[in-house]
Amino acid sequence: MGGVRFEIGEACYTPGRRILRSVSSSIDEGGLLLVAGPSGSGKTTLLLAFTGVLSNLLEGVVEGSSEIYGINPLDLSGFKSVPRVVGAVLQDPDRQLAMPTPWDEASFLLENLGYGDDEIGKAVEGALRRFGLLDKAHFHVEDLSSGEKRRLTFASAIVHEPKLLILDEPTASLDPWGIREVKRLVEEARRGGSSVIVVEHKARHFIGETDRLMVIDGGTVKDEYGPGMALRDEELERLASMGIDARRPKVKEPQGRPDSGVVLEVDSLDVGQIEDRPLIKGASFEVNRGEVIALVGPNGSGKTTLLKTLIGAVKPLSGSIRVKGSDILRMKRSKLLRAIFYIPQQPDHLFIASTLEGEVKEASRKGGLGFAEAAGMIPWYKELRSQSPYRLSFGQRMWLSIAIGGCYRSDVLLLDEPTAGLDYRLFCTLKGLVERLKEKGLSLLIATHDARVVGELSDGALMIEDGRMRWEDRDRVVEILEHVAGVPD
Amino acid sequence: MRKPTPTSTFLYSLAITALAFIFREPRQLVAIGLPNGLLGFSIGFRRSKWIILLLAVAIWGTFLNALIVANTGDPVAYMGPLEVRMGALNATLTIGLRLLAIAGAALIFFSSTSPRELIRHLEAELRLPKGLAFSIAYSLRLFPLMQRDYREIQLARLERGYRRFPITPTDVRSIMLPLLSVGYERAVWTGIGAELRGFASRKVRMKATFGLPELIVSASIALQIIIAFIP
Repeated sequence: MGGVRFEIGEACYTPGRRILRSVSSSIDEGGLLLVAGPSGSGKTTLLLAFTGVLSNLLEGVVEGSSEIYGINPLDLSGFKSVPRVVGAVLQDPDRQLAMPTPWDEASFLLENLGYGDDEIGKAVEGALRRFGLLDKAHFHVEDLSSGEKRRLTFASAIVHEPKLLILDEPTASLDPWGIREVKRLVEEARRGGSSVIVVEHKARHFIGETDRLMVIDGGTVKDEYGPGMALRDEELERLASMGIDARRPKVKEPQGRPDSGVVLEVDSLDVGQIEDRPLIKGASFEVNRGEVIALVGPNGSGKTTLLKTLIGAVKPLSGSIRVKGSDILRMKRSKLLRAIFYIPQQPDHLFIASTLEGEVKEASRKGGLGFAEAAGMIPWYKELRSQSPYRLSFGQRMWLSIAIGGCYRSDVLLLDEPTAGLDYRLFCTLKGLVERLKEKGLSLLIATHDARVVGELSDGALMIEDGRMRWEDRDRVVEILEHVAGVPD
Repeated sequence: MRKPTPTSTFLYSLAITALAFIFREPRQLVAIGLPNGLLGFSIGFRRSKWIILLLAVAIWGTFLNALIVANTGDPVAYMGPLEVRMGALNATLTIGLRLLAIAGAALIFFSSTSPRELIRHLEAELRLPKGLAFSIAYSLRLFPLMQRDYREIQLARLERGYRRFPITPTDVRSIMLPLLSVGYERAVWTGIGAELRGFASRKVRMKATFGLPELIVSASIALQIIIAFIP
């Protein structure tokens, strides 16, 4: 019996707190089902529900039925057979990779299923070769680039040639080059006869290839489009209003760079961790007061290293960095930190206190911004002030980290991939916060490969290519990013 | 010659740890501290430089503690107005050698195994439950990730105007909270990922390996005990 069918009446993690209601769909052999929806809509819960993870592993409740290539995963004995027919790629490779080397990681599933050593050796070698990782089979996974880690999760997922490949937000942490590779892998899996289910809020990357698009929000199906679908502009707008990226990012009208005085000057800067191997060579640029600049480049191009160099955490290999005319190498650390504030990609790293209220108080006390003004930057402060910052949603945690940066009244905020994993609705709220900070005269330098940031948020774009940095027209950058990712015009 | 099985090095490090607590005399502790320390740090230095730092901090802490609780006997040195007596040096030496033996044996174990080998051998030879064996192995995978998180947290603390290194319990809490929060979320998803890759149906094939490498490991434990008891 081929294909996948599920009819979920209700699903919840704890009884009485329903997450999903009346969600059903099916997919044939070689088909692609795209499940789109904003953050918190129940997309991942749907994956966990129909594969049996929710009811058999997480002690949740699933009412309804599910069938994956003749297996009933809601039944415990069926659930144990799921890995034989399913390969899964989760959102964040660091949360999926359990073993230290690519070879061990790709062997793990086969060992669990009881394959013999010879079979394991052959299958693992084949999978790693296919994903270009055979040369690094015995490297430590921490020595792989983020793109290589993503490829390793694919290699581990298809090593047993599964009939169903499940991808949960596969593009979340990827640059356009990585996204194109994911799309190629999906095509290959389908050509091999596997069914593929992709859960993604960046629907535009898969909308051209999918057989069926299911849109869920609030735990239930809002829309479903069948084969041969052609989405009209108003439908795309409606999806966008639900938080789904279904269309090309807009590019806001250029306003010209503000003539408000230079706050950050970088001249002939070589950046890197190793003396004779700079990641970026000869970078020169200026950022004006109240300006938002997007720093664009592929994963591993040196964006984060550049940001860390600007705050003095990584020593520049050569060149100079001046903030309001002062050389950062001669500035006292406390003065430098008052001038530039770096917000890491993982917002949790920035938190100090055990409640939101404590966090805002500490930021206000250390940063020097009044408490009321600090709390005013967070729209949901009153309802959630006694909650732990770590229990906020990802979007809220990212918001809080930027608000903390705002409390320190620095001249320049450096944001490292702040929109990775944010749906379009959250992106728009983040845009609101950035606009507010900008109005206060803050300059922002945002490391990103998100075309939305370049098109809708930034005033200018710096592009890193082959270790060199240059100013590039924002329209052109959006076009490059979308073209590389294979988004149709 | 192949390397010894993870089970044998695991048992070796357990045995050395037990001996480090059983032996009382500095002379006996030298017999296990020096060889394990030298071997462990020479083969495990690149992967675990931080253990050296921890060891140095621990020995310094021990010395300060010994100055308070064991500073007896003949004076041997002066630190400003403070007399350092034989008792304090003996206590520091004893505990330092003990720590050196334990850290060295742990480094020998960690440097000679990978988590996958460890799971297979602990399950198949020592018959540890697979959940426990996987947890031990996964903790080895987590160390580098936690190191990376810790560096990021240190940077963020500096930015926010706090000490880079924890001194007070509040500092420790504010470092542990993000570390645990990120680690917990990661562990939950790794668990789900492992289950989707058939961990529940993992079959364990019982087997025992005992060859020349394991014989050498066993003999080296015996040799260290004999040397420790030579008058």
